[in-house]
Amino acid sequence: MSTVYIPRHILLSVEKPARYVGGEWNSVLKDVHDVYIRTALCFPDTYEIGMSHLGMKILYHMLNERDDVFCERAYMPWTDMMSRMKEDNIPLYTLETKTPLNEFDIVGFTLQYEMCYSNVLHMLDMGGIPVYAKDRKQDDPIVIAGGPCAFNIEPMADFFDAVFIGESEDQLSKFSDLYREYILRGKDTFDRDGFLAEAASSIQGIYVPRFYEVKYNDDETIRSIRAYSQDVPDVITKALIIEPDKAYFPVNLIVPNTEAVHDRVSLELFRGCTRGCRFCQAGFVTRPVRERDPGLLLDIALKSQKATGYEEIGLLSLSTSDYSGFKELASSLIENTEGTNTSISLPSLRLDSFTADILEKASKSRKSGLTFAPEAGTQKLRNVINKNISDNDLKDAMEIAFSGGRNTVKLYFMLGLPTEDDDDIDGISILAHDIVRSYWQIPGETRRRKPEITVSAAMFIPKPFTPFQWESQDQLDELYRKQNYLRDKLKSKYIKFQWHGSKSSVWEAVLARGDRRLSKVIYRAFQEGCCFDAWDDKFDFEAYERIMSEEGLDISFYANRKRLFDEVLPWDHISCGVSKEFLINENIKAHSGVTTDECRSICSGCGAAAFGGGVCFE
Amino acid sequence: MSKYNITLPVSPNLRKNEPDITKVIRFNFSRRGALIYIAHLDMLRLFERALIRSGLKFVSSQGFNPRPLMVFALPVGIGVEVDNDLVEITFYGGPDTEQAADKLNASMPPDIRITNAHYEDRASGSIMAMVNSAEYTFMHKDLSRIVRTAMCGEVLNVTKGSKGKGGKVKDVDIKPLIHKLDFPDDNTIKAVFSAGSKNNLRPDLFLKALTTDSGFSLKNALDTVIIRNRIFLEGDHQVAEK
Repeated sequence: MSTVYIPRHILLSVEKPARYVGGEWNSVLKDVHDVYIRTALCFPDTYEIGMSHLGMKILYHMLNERDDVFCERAYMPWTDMMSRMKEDNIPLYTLETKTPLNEFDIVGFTLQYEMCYSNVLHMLDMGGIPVYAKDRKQDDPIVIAGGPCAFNIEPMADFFDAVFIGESEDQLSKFSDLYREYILRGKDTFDRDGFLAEAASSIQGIYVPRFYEVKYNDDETIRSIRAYSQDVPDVITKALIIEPDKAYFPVNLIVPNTEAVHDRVSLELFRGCTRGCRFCQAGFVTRPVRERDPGLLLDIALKSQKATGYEEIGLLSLSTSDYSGFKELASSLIENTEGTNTSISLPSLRLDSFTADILEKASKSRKSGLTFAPEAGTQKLRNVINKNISDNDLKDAMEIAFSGGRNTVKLYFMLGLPTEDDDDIDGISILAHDIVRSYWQIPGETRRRKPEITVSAAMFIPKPFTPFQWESQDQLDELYRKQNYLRDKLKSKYIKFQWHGSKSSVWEAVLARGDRRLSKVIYRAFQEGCCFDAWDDKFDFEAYERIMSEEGLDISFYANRKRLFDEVLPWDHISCGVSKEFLINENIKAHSGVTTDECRSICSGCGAAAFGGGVCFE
Repeated sequence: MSKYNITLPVSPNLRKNEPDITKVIRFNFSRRGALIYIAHLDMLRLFERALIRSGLKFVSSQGFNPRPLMVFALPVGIGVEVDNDLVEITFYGGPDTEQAADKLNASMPPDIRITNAHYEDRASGSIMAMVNSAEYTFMHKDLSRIVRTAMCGEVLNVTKGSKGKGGKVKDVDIKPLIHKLDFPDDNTIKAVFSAGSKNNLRPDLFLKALTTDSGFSLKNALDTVIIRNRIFLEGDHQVAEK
């Protein structure tokens, strides 16, 4: 067992050394001799981003509640620290005990976005773990991954021993139980493949990529994906917590020593989303909606606030205002924090549920900006993507916001959506200008400042397990043209235009629907030093373009090709509970501009009812 | 203990529930281990959160973004260990000082410890304005000899300012800011520097002044252990002769 020593001169010559030393409030320390399993949870981005992530905190505290497990954390060091560590041969270590990653039994990565993939390889390599799963020996850690990207892990399939599909709380508990059983039989005789096979066959949603064979057609598409052995499932169905009120939820949350991006108590109101926006992967892979009891949530919020000292409680979910106990919860939270410095933040509000009441609640907190996501500029296109809000909803919401004394509003849109034409882009501009005009129509005494309308445009990225998984992404030059077109239309000095990097959207589209052949591209990019691809100033699209062509692969095959419904998709052996038939039907409806009602109005039979709970049985 | 009360503006809804009396407690604290690497702003946040966790009834500033009334005597830089720094916090009522210290300690990461607490009863003025000097211990191999040599010169210049931001770069003589030097052994020196708002010598700047091209390198300077032993306030002590 070894402890990494990081010399003072290194910590004092890098930015924000607090990220590399641990010692946080509510972090857990145990005697490593007292436990059977040492687990390292890794977040493949900076400490500030990783420490904002609720999921990793839940798993960290959950595992540490067990006497037989000691779970520690590691984050991706920023480039300055990374190069200092490499110069001095300092391995990547965990913050709790400063132990190199390769001394752990289980090393887990949470994959929140595709653009973190190259970081994963750096972290493995710096931690002294063979990057390819096939190269790992008896005493190397079992390397696992989970998170939204697990649903199509194929581009990273070569690097993980096991992948956790779905919600990981139960999976990780069972995986740890099974691992303990195996090592109690003798660590020297530990049977890696036997253990992984038993995990894959006995625990829901555990996928061991190397137990599956992928065959290709002459046209580069996939012919088949088959399990080598009958012991593992042909189709891996995600795991989920069907009764979230009974799930483990920590209140003694770890508090970072330097400011995180989201530095607050995150209160998860529910999992899933009833809406079915056709571009949204999270909305489909987390089905069905499962709500938590408002009384329980209030209790958790107040206890967490006391245990952390945070001054902000953020209500977290895919569409917060859809929570059926929203009013009760919001008012009881506000009542219970009255007279303290605590504020409540309400992200992800829907335009059609935005009321003066909600604004008033949000006003009592210190947050000033309001953010909405109409996603598309015209009713026609909003019907295509099933974002069921109307121009009137938007108008009403803005009137409420402006009359309530707000002057800054941020609007999220997407460019490049299926069936989009220039009229739809004009629609964004018309909407934005209408909003500015409506600001000047409210009574003068309410208008203390000038309006600030921010139009933020992201590029549409087709994602697996959505009705748009067969769609093509616009070519890069078309994306640029649309960006410029919109920018030129937004003339008002009260409107600010922001857009998301087009090149990174293309690469994200490649990875999102990628297959196993991309593993070697990611590996080579890592070798050439690509890292922090999610950071616009670090992302090197040209490097990826070059490596792709050197490997005989084509970006447009992955990003810009429209698939047929009968094509075998790289993730066809994974199930999120929503049937392919449903997604096909949704795609057809999208192209004829027909909307689908949200789950509470009428069940559309997506298939998620098979899980036996949540909104399907309300 | 004095009964002097400082009256502070109190937000209306707090006024209903809290006694009107507010009192300032001065805490002495130490900081070691991992937490020597956090920046001053992070220290502020850490103390704020510890205060909230402690359940002590502290007074906040008014306005849209209320903050606890909490003043550190002297900010501490990244990499500096602390034996005995000072922070003043204003509370409602008169919490028992020992209990307040215990509650804060129970709410702090173990690397920060409150070592003492007492009521502070001066009529006015911020503790920051009262700081006049600070005592530091530095430890590095052969440091005594290096400092002795450096102090032989007429002046001890250090380059201040950065070239990058278009700022002015100038040489400053820091010798007048060094009030006392002791050499307990070959590798350790103890020093008293000017500190506070008027004249302030940062310990890392002192170490930078010692660096030369051939001898004591920047890497040596960064590796030197820095401990701030105590902060002297006006009237605390007579500034010693050099």
